Amino acid sequence: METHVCLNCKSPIEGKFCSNCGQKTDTHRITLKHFLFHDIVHGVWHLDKGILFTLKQASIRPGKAALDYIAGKRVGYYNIFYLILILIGLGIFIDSIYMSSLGKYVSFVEPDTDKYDEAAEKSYEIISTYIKFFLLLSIPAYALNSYILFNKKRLLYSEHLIIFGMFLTGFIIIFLLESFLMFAEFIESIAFLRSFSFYLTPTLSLIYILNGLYGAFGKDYSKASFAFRTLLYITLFVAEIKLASFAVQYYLKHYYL
Amino acid sequence: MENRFCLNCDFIVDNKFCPNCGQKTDTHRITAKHFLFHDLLHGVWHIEKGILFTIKQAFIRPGTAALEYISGKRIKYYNVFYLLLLVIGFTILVSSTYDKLSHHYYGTIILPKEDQSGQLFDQFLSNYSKLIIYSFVPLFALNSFLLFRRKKLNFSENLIIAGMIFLGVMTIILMGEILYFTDFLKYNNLFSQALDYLTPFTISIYVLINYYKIFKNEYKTSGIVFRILLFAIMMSFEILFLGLFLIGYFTGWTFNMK
Repeated sequence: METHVCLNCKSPIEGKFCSNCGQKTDTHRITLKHFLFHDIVHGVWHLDKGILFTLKQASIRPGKAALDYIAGKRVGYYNIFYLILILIGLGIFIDSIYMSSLGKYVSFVEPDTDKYDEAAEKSYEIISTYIKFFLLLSIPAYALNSYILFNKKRLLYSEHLIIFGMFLTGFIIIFLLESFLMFAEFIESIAFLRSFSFYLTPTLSLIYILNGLYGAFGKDYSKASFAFRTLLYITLFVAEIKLASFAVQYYLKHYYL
Repeated sequence: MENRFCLNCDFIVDNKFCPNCGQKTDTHRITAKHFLFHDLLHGVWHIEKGILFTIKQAFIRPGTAALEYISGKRIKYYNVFYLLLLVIGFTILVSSTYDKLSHHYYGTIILPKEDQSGQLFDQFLSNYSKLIIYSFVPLFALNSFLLFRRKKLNFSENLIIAGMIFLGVMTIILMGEILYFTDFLKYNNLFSQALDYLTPFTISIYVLINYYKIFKNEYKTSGIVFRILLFAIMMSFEILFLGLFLIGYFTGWTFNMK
């Protein structure tokens, strides 16, 4: 703190932020460093330390972090929905590098050519084209599941949206890990990691969602009731994914091909 | 104000913002309205009232706005450089809509067959238009940094001024692009032809008048008029050199482009 009056609204200040308009009290001249870091890096690309904090929180304790955010501890968090868009963009970028590497390098993993289905292939293509749309659409759908199954806290539907947004951030982090593992198939000595990743992603996802649900709703119910609700939640979760992919395939078979 | 303690850091609060962590003291439950407006509109698309305020300021009084921002009145302003990106993006959208419409109304216009370097040059201009427009900002800043030393602003502060002026310039270009749609009106297409001259003219006047307003108190009338003229000459030469450099680069330094 350098000044005694807010440079923005002239009200007297004593902490790190002006209590009247919220501007930082250490506002100083615009130097080259401030220009590069604040005006360009933060302002244009929206990179700030809130991203790393939110990523860490979403990976380790998504349920608790969402409850913190809902309860009002919001200033340290980056906007989750924007973070999801950024992560999806990163995932698409990594996948495109993988695809172009496939053409350039020798893969040490046997390709599975036996079950080729045109509709399935086409639907995979459609889903990966509109992946942003599908993933964002999953938030209201799955928020409804937890709104119905876990509502002892009497949280609003919008608050369940935040909770699933936090879970989705974690899921995308797991998918990104898998994308990185895919590159192992080009290096002979660690090519087995590629097949390993097929089991790793579902296992990690399961552990992650159990941890997340327990953090958010574990204390609300008895152990048996929580276990039952979690089982129902996961069943619904898988069933809805299957249903959505069947719907896309049905649509493709009858109206597209 | 509803809470007596900050919900984020438990600090005692008595006004609109927590003096310790800066969170708003009227933080409330996440309702559907809050979710739509705060988490989606503001968080994902970054739409907030600061945008309109900043565009209005950049258009009407960019100099005063930039000096206010530099002196420390910053919280009301949207980040100028990000806003520039948004306005450029919007302008590209409007002009591509115009192109589609003109294709629809007038049919395909057969362009004269260009040689390789001309096509490459056009492609470069349209692919990197954002970058090219952006590169003008440091040029503006460098010129005003060299010419108007008496105000004792550093280079970064001159960048802020240039950014604000350029936001006004982009707003004028955007309005010109929108007005250009009068091209499709039957008896009004003279207006769109006038725009070809009106837009560059307005931009030059706007830039020079606003640089004059920012630095006029530091110099005598003759001094400021001389410096503004010099500024205009320097800008024209720099743009000319930039253009020549690009043309030279794409023609392999033969400058032969038909």
